[in-house]
Amino acid sequence: MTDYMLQVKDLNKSLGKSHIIKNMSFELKRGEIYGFLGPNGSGKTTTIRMIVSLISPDSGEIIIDGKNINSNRKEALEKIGAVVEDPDLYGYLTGKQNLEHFARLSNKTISKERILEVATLVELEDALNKKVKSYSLGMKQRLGIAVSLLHQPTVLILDEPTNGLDPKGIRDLRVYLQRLAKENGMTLLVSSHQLSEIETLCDRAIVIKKGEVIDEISMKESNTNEQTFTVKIEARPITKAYEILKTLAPVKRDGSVVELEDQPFESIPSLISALMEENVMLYSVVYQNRLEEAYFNLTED
Amino acid sequence: MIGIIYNEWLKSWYGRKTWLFSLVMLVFIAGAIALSLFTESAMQEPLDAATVAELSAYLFPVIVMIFGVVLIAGAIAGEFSNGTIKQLLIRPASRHSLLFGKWFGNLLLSILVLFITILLSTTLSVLIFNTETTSVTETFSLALEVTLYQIPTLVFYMALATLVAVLTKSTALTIVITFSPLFFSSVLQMFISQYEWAKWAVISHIEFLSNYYGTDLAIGNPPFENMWASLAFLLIHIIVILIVTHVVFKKRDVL
Repeated sequence: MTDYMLQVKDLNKSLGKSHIIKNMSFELKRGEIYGFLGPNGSGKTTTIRMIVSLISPDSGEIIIDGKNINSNRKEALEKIGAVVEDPDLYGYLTGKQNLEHFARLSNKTISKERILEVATLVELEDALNKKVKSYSLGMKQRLGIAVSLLHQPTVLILDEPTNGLDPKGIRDLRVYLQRLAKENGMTLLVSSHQLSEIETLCDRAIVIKKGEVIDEISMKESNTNEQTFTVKIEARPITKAYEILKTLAPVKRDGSVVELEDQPFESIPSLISALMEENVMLYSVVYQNRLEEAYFNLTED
Repeated sequence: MIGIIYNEWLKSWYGRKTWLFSLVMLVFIAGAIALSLFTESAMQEPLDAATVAELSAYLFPVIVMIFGVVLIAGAIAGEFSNGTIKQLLIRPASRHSLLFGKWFGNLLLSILVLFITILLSTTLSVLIFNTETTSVTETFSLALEVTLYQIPTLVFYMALATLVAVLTKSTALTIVITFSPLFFSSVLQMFISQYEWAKWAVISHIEFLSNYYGTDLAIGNPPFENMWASLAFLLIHIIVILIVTHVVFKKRDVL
């Protein structure tokens, strides 16, 4: 059995005259959480919709847990759960009715216990008999996830799941998702605009631009490897700081902030001590997080 | 399949407020009875139960038909506009069975509501009004016959609504476009009826009741001499409309 739970091979799609997905290929390993990153209009949602058979690709293959979505649609969809964009549910039905509604659309029988189990997993067991239109956005989002988990899929795809959630909602969601991956061995693909969110949630990130995969970044690598960062230092007097740092590395001045590009992680303490020795008052030292740096490097022209 | 149809009934019942529509129909039935009682007292002679029942059987199917089209519009275009169609289409159920569940489920529901309405209004008529000239059995068969003659029209409009809903994905457009034949067909029929080809236009066949039930309602002559030929002609159109709808729905990219 293949170890890849989702394989996307040479996917192409044109809408009208624009070729929006170009030879897209990537693979997801079992039990890992993948971020799906890209600027607006880069084709994230289109790709996700092709994976779940809402849009048919012009060419290429999508294989979910060994099942091809084109030739074996039902079996493939049996393995996948997804929330595409908003968690669209029936507001005039209760949470329980929504779950039962989607349970009836599965090929296998989904028991009442299973419905209660997924509701408990997303902590909605007390709100099940309320109409969904009275739910908060976070509750709707969680119910959407519960709906997509009903049939025990091996791959879960979430499109912008943290949209409109408050910080607590985002943190709770992260805990659920990581638990699903760790405890149930589920493979997740999460698209988001929130780079920091992807960084804390995911194991790896697939970066796309203009319908092509341009890189896959691992989030697990430690800060000590050869990656470099842009370091921003706020200090006074700024001119003195600028003069000192100029001798150590190429610098840029931006108002009361000095910016140093392409600095290895290990050089940050030496920059700080150089300033301290000269009695420059240091207010802050920040480095752009890795994903953000990589993302902008990759997606900017 | 039963699960899919059950789902559609559930959504029509709560989402399109079929329960409220049923209450409204009850009010209409009560209104029709009250109006008949009023007429009876004004005429100062007993009103035939058959007359009341037949009149109800002419009126109520039109109301149910309008509601049936609204159900289809909500079940298809409505799900497109509120986005729930995506959740439906990523389930391990074929698009054909989902669409079939929508039109067939709602058609079944409309026909059910229609017959309950007719049976109820006829029962009330024979209980309240004079049954001496026309017997109870005759009254029932008369009312059911008038209703049956309107079923082809109901099926045609609901099939047309399915097509328009899949094509436009807009609830309002579905309702307006589907009913344009209802409002214009009689005018159009009057204009084209002088031509020989008019009988091959489907619009001449939609009003099955006025074409073939008695002659007093007909605008000119019925399109075909044989009622069953007209019914088959209408049925072929319904099947073609539904096949086209299924093909479009199957192929459509949901963006």
